Amino acid sequence: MSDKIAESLSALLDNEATELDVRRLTKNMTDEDLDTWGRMCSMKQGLHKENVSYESINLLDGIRAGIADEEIVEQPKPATSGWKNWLGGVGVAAAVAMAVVGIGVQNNEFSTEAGGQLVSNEQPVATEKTEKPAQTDPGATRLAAADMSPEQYKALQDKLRSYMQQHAENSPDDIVGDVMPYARVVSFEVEQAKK
Amino acid sequence: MTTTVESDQLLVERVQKGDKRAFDLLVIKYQSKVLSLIGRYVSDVHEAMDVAQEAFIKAYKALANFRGESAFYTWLYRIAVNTAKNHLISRGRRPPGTDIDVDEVHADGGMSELSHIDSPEASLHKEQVENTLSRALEALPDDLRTALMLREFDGLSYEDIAQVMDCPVGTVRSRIFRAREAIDKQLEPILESTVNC
Repeated sequence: MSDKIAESLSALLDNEATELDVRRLTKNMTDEDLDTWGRMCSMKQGLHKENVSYESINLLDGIRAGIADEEIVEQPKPATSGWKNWLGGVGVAAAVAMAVVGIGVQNNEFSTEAGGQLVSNEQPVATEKTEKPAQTDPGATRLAAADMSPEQYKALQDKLRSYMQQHAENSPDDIVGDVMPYARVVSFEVEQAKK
Repeated sequence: MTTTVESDQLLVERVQKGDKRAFDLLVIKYQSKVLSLIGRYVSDVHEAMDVAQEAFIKAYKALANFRGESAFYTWLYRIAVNTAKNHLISRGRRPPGTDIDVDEVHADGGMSELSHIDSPEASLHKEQVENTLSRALEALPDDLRTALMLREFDGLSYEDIAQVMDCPVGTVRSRIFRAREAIDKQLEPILESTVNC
């Protein structure tokens, strides 16, 4: 056994091995080296007085036979760079921004239609609720948060949350920083409208 | 020196890339622990070895989905416990109601139910191994013994040991390896008896 292999095994035992060590080991080690590895592991267990058997156990042959026909298919990792990914991220970010802005505008319409001023948080929500149906354009397809049933509201919340999650996963960090504060503001407004 | 990562994670990543030799290293590292754990559920040594083998094979098959969110051994531990319980159920036996804590299994004093671990011969062998280790450690040259003890008993990293011993990290790595090599020469003859599956 080469000293290099044994030294790599020793480093592996100490969590000090590098990728190079591991590659060297898996490429060049023999069954004799595996025996040495087994004794090194026993040595460590012995020094730490772990309650294990020091009889040399041979499970390896059976396990090798059991996995002989098994091939691990590496799970594809999502790409983290490239213009396609960037473009996708921007697309999702834009969609989220539109959804968020749409809800935001909707809320602003409710609160500004009456007097052209923003409705303060102190204003009773009940007033807003009673006035809105009369002011809502009958042709409008958008639902106001205050007009929704709890189920509709929850569905909208879930949808928004999934958009935001997708957005956060796909968009570049700098875009997230720009959109997220507004998303939080709008979310707060929706919460207020619900109350 | 290149930044090091947990060895198990490095090996797992190699296995996930299709390198079965890396799995051999994981099997050998953990086979005693897994067998000892399964021995808490299954007392017959040959039956326990079959269950341990099955647990490792299941782990290999599931390894593609292992994302490193927990330590590899914690993950393997769950597979081993479930395999042992399923084995008992398939034999019409009742598995214990409460699980054994992962930290308690290998602590000193927590004996396995396995007959070969409990036997007087096994206890004698264990004592022999531990005495040999102590003697071999005492017989090491100072620099090798200090490096190994700082690693094993104080848990210092190679970099910290290098600072303590005022030498390069590469020297620490080499000293620890040579210490183990010297101990291994004493240990090898008494670790011969093999239990085959």
